Amino acid sequence: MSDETNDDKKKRRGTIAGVGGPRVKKTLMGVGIPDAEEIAADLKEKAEAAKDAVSEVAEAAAEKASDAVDAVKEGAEAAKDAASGAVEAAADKASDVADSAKEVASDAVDSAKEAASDAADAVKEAASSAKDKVAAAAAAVSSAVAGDDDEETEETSADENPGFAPGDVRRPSGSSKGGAYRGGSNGKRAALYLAEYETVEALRDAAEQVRDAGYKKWDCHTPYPVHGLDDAMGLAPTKIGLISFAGGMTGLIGAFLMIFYMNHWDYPINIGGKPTGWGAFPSMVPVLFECTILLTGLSTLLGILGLNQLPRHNHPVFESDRFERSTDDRFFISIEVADKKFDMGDTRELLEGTSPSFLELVEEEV
Amino acid sequence: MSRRKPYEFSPSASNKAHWRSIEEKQMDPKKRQELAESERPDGFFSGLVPSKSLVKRKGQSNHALLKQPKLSRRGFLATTGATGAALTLQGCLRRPEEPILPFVRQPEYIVPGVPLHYATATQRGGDALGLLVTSHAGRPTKIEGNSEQSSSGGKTDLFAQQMIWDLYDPDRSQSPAQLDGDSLADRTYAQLDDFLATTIRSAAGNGGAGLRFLLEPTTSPTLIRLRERVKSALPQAKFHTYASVSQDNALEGAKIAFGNRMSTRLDVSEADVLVAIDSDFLGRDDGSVFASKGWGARRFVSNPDTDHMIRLYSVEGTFSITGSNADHRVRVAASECETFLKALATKLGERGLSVGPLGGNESGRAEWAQMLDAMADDLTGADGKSNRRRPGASAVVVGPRQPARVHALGYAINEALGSIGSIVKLYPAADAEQATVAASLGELVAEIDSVQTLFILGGNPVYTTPGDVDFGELLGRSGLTSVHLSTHRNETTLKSTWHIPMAHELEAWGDVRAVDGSISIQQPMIAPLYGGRSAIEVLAPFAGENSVSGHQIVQNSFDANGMSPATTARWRSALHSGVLAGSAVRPATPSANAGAIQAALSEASAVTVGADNFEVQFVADPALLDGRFSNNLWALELPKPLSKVVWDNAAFMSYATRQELGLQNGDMVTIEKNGQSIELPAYALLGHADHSITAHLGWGRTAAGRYGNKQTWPGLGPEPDWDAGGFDVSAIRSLEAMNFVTGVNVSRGSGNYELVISQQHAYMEGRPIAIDASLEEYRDQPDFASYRTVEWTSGPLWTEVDYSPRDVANNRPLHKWGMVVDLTTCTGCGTCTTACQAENNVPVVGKQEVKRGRYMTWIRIDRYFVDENPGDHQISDDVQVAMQPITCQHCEEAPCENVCPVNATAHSPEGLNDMAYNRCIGTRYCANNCPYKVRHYNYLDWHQHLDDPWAFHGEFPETRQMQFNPNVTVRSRGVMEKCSYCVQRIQEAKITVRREDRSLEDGDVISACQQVCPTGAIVFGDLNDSSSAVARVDATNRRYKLLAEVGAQPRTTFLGLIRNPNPELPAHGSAGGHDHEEAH
Amino acid sequence: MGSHAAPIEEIGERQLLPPGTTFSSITETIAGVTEKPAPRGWWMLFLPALCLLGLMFVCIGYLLTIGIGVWGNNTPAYWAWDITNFVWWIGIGHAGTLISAILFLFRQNWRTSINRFAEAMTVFAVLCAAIFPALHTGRPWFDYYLFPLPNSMGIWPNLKSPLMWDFFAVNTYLTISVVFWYVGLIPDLATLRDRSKSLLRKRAYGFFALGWRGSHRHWQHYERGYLIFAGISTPLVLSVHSVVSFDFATSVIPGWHTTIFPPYFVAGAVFSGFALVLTLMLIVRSVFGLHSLVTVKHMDLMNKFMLATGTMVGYAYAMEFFIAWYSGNPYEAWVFFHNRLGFGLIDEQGNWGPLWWSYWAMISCNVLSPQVFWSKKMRTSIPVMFVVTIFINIGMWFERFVIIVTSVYRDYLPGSWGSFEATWVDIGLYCGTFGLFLTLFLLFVRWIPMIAIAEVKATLPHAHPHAHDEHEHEHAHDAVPAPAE
Repeated sequence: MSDETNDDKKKRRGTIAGVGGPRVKKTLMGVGIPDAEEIAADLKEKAEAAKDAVSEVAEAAAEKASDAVDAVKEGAEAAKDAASGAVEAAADKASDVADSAKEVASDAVDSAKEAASDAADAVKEAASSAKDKVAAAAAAVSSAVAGDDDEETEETSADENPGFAPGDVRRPSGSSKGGAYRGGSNGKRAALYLAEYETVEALRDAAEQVRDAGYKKWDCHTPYPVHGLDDAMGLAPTKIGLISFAGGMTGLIGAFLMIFYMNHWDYPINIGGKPTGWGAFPSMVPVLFECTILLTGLSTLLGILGLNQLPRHNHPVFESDRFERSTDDRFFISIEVADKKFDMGDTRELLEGTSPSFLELVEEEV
Repeated sequence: MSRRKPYEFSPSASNKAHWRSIEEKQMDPKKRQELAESERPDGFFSGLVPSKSLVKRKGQSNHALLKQPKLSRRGFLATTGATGAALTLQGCLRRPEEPILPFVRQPEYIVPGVPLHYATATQRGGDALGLLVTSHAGRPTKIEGNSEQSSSGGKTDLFAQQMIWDLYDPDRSQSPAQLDGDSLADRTYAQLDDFLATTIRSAAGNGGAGLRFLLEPTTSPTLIRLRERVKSALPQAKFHTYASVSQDNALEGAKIAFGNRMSTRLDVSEADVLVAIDSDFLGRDDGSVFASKGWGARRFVSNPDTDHMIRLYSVEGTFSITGSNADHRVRVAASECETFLKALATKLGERGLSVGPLGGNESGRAEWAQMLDAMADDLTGADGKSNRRRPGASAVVVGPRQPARVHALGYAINEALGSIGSIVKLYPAADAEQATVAASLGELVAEIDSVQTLFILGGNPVYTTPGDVDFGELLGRSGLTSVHLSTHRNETTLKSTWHIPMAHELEAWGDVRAVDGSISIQQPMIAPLYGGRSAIEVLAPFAGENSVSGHQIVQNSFDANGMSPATTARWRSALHSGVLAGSAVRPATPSANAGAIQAALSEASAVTVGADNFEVQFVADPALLDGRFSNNLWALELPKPLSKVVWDNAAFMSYATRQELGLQNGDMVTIEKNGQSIELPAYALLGHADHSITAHLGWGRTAAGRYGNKQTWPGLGPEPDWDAGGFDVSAIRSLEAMNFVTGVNVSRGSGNYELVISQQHAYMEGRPIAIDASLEEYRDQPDFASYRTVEWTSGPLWTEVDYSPRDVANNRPLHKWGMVVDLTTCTGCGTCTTACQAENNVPVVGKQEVKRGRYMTWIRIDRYFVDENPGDHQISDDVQVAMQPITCQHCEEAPCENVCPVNATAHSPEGLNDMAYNRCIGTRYCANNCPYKVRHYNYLDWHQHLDDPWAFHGEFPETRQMQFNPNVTVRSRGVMEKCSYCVQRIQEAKITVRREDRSLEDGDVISACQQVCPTGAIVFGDLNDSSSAVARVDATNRRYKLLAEVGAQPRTTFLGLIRNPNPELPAHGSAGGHDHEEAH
Repeated sequence: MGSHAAPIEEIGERQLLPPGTTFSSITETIAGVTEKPAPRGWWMLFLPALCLLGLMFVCIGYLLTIGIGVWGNNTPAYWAWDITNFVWWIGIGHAGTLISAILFLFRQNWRTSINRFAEAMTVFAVLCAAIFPALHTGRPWFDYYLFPLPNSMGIWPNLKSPLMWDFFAVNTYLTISVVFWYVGLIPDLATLRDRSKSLLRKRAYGFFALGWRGSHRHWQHYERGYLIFAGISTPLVLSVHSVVSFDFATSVIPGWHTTIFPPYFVAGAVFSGFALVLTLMLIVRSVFGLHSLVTVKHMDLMNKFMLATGTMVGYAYAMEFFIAWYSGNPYEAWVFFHNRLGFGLIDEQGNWGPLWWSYWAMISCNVLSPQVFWSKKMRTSIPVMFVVTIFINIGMWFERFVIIVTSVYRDYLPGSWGSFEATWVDIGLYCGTFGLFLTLFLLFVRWIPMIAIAEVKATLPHAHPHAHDEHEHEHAHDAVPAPAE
């Protein structure tokens, strides 16, 4: 493997980062976990999976690419350059992460180290075998996408690395030409970026940055309610109080009308010689009170569920396995693709700037 | 929707067209006809039928459309859904299936839903009580008094109320039977008739040799006539009479005094001073209804200055209702009453009366002296302070248990007092030939060896005969054929050769004669439920009257007596009014034969009862009598008026005696006499004479029926098995000592027995509840009753409901029903309790449930002992009694109503506190919040409880269902119930007056308790009608509201209890009871 | 949720959880209970609980078949064990919501270790309580008449009746308690969901977690909603037992007609509720080894509460007697001095009130036994508090029995006086409801996080920004207050 050129490496890494799908990324980036032994085993497993996935994707891409090669040969050349640039950048990061992974692993046990290197080897192997075809395919795809969507092209060109922008690739697209991406990732599409933090301060700082960046459709995920996040996120006060109040008033007035109707209007009965209408008001108080409470409570419940749009069991964050720790001891920020300001690159950069312990792009089923 | 015959709408101008709306009137007549036939012109389905489908379509007639409404899908679902729901609900409801069958032949006068009332009568010892029987669709359901009959005056006693239950007793015998080996085998009437025919033939052949009849004492002219005819037709045949409780002593006393057996009627309404010697003339003695009526009149007082009030002294050993109403009561053992009366005669002699010598200088016990003087003064009016206003207005009343000679002495005293003929009225006895039961039975016993066939027509001698006559053994004598006529297969039946089911008094023709000679015809209200014959029907063939029709036999009597041709208007009017016009006779005024009385009195020596000479009194049970009501649930559960014991009898003794014997209530006590002994539980009844024990008759039956037998009832789960049925005490009774016996050995028996009382606490604890005062106190403080209660002076925060508005449209007042109970005239007899039970289908619950306080009687009579010395925590036997009937007070601001969550109890515009049983879910909150605790709860399925304690939903005896008043809901398990002021009677009266197009008048509505109350203590009516009796009584100054301070504004009010003690006597004079310090 | 994360040292509050507690250790400890096999102690409790539950069904079946006459209720004690048990259970049910809501409003962080537990207890206790009024009607199949529905004659329920108030109050309380409990559970169910290994668990917990994802936008509504729940639950708790007391206070029966009842009942309810929470917690804590989360500090605080409420109750008892004497109402004096005290007033025959012993059982259990908590040593002694809490539970049962039975069995008219004796069905049904309670409770501790995971986490010193790791415990009080919401 040592005979690979730096360019090749860059290409491969870029390729992997670009189209390898989330699993590959996890393999490379998911190393921040203290339990080295487990991680090492996980890495090995994931590397195997990555190998399969890469070859699968590569083959599929190659097939499509060969059809397009003739028509877009010129464009492919240009794309190749761009891609190599992008790959280089990605590869740098990847190697950084890999290094840190190695460090942690060596701190733990030797076997973990070995496993990590094995994993890296496996990935390398897989990647090199697919090198050429993938490169070609990537070029073809990116050019095809670029040609399809003018706006995207503009953005892409404005990008520092216009030749290969992951955001462009992942961008959900209505175009039929986007089929190359969709087919290649089992009917998924990008949904949100998920950044993980280990401390609540990091989360708060990150949230402030995201808020300042002007995002709207983003969120913090914490295992318990963190104070100060409202400000950090720039959230407006909740309206649930109004809902509860409205419910409570409905209960109060409804109960009053109910009693008045039942015992005074509809069928007044002489009960122990006591009055039935306003004169009976003192006897109504307990029921008025209880009904007020009841409807306040129920409307608060409905308010919580309604404002939170719960129950919802299919949120994209659940696609992330790491997110399971959001209810345990990790803090997350998610930025949704649907946000107007969302940009694969910018957003990613922003999140990277908040130094998360982990960052991933989460895809959802289409 | 039932199909009914299509009917014609008549569009022709000649007939009136009936139409309900303008639309209908304008409708095409033919269509209208069709609509009428389809019965749903615009009804149930119209909302479900989409209007579209009602629009006429091409080629389709309106007719067809309407006949077959097209249902939309929604409509269909709605219909099926509703139907399904309805069917489901239907399934949830427990409605017994009952075939509805029409009468094959419509009986006379019967209009469904409208009850009929028939006059009849029943025998009460030597008297007859006129009855008016309410019959619903041929079922007698309620008995009331016949106001046209002199002994009744429209009121009844307790036993008349209980009769109706006996009629439907499920344990009545249902067929003839013959002894087959050791047990009875059912026989048909044909077999019975064969046997009877044979017997009659052989009797006719030998002149009745060996033929004996045993009857109960009777006043029936027909029975007496038949007896005489049999005697003449079969000269060898003999008649005997026996009854456990009889009038013999009074009759024999008259015979000593006047030479003839004479019946006595006490006319209290003319009396000023009475001394009752062992007499319960206000309670269970014969003629009590008549006496109570007079008592009510003479006891009621609304103006203490002008109203003159009767004064009553009671001298008795047991504690009777009369004693509880007395102004002065002396505890004297029954055996010593003779001494007491002799001493009284002596005292009277000292005051110039000729009876002095009869007393033989007897001075009685030292502690009586003061009382005797006071009595003598009062009776004679010797000093000016006497309560007696005129000669002849005072009398001594000797009770039927006292020996004949005491009666004779009493007659002599009364003659001396001038009261014979004025308040003590004497009439010739109905059956002058009759020997005393003791002599008559003794004769039968002596001659039993010569008897071949013995007809026992009624009665239950095997059970009721005293211990020295083993009647069962006599019946078992070989060669004796005994024929027993009785309603039940009782102890005697089981020893008899033949059994003939007896028709109930309400099922058969007969006649009875009252004390005053007036004759009442008994007419059947219903065909015998189980078949059965009356005594006259059995006896008639022996007299040669071979008609088995009781009707004919009774008519024959009147023909034969020449009193009336049987079918004339006079007969019919006798049936209608209940009394044969002109049959009453004038009271006789014979003069007493002092010598004979002297002779009789000297025969016996004085008896002194003491620790070494205990006495036992045999008293007919206040509810079971001599056992004839032993299977009667109402009787079994009626609390004894003074002791409040239910379901049992006991050895009632004074508290001092019980302590002396070292016993607790319920400890078994053995009483021995002449080698015979009885065992029964001890019970301390305050007010009982010392060293005397009252043992009630009628208990301990072994063949009374499913309820009355002495038995162990299976307890319901949490409730233990319980024994009930009391103890047979006749073993130590003898023909010589039928009423009391001295010289008995009393010792502690083994173990104890659970006695259950319906009222657990006997004292008022100083509370103004049954507020009493002496006449003097009343004079000083006329509003003493309301003075002692605290009525609210300021009204509530809300506007109170005005129950006295005028019905503007008809310009007449609306009704404001109210009740006033006069504690002064209420004797506490308990008749109202049973009357209410009969009227309102009130169940009985069983001894164990009474113990839990779960008795259901809507009227309970609270009995309070008013101690002479309150507060010293010493239990004294010298107590006065205050009786207070408590029933729903129909509070205007009813606490119960406010708390009912489901509006099941609410106020009617007329002020009734109504219960909607089907709305009640049984939270019992209302009952908790009732300060009077008058609400009764169906904890279990009470009607079935005793038959079916495990709620297997077995059949409730059908005959008992027949007794139910159809106008009153039979309450199910889990609902609250209480007095309704007989709302069904109010509604019935309203319907009646509306039909008669008049307004309600006082007396149109009479509640069941008011109707029956012999003293008129209960007054019910419309308080808005100022002329009504209740309004007048309600205005009496001694009226008060019970627990007025609670603020419930009870509609039922009470009149304070006034006693009229002799001011000359200490202690009793200030019988204020609870608050002596306030009394003066 | 716990807005003030850290204790306030000035008022003597201390960190409740031991040092070294981390988020994941909390998760592990609490969630672990539901994931590990049940300990032996659990089974030892669960099987008897099932037996008792069976007994309850037997008693109910018997009761429905034959009628409530199988109880000892009689005339005049129309209510006896049924309502006693009802009020007792309802009272117990008050601690849960009270701990949860009132302590929440007062920012008492120590509640977090016990509130879930107590809320569950509330729900189960109210369920047990509801059995009695539902069954005590003579015709339970018509209980639906209580709903505001007209019957076929158009008759509506009577809203003036305290029982209707009760009906509304108890149903509201049950509903709100369940909702409050459930809302608090949602984040923790999400935790369990996310830790689930098996698909079934994941699906089951996931279903009830409603897709909770810890979103702060959700937390924002959730926290405010929870605050509202706490805000309405507090008056609700106070109102429910007040309304229960109205059943008695609005009546005319001496001993019932007492204006002191609402606060007295509420204090009693808190008293008994805390006692049962503590009793159960002591058991569960030892069975599941939760010593690190439910510490002696918690117990100490609860014991102080019981001492306070017990004294309040004692004051109420005394005040009732004072008023009975001072009012000069002879009926009321009779109820208190004769029926209850026994020898205070003796009747004309010189007898004590027959049920005097129940009053003295109440006094010794409720007023005397908590006095040991004046001593810190006693407050922190597990065996002592176990015994005392059981005494208090018994005493509070007697309190209700005393109020209900000894008032009504000898009230106005001596002619109507009676007595009371319980039957085996009374006893069986009461014990049976323990079966129901324990069964539900044991299922709860087994399958549902019995301590509010998210809330406990929020009380950790480093739970909120500005609390720096290096100053973990020392500067915990530096934590910023919550946003003013």
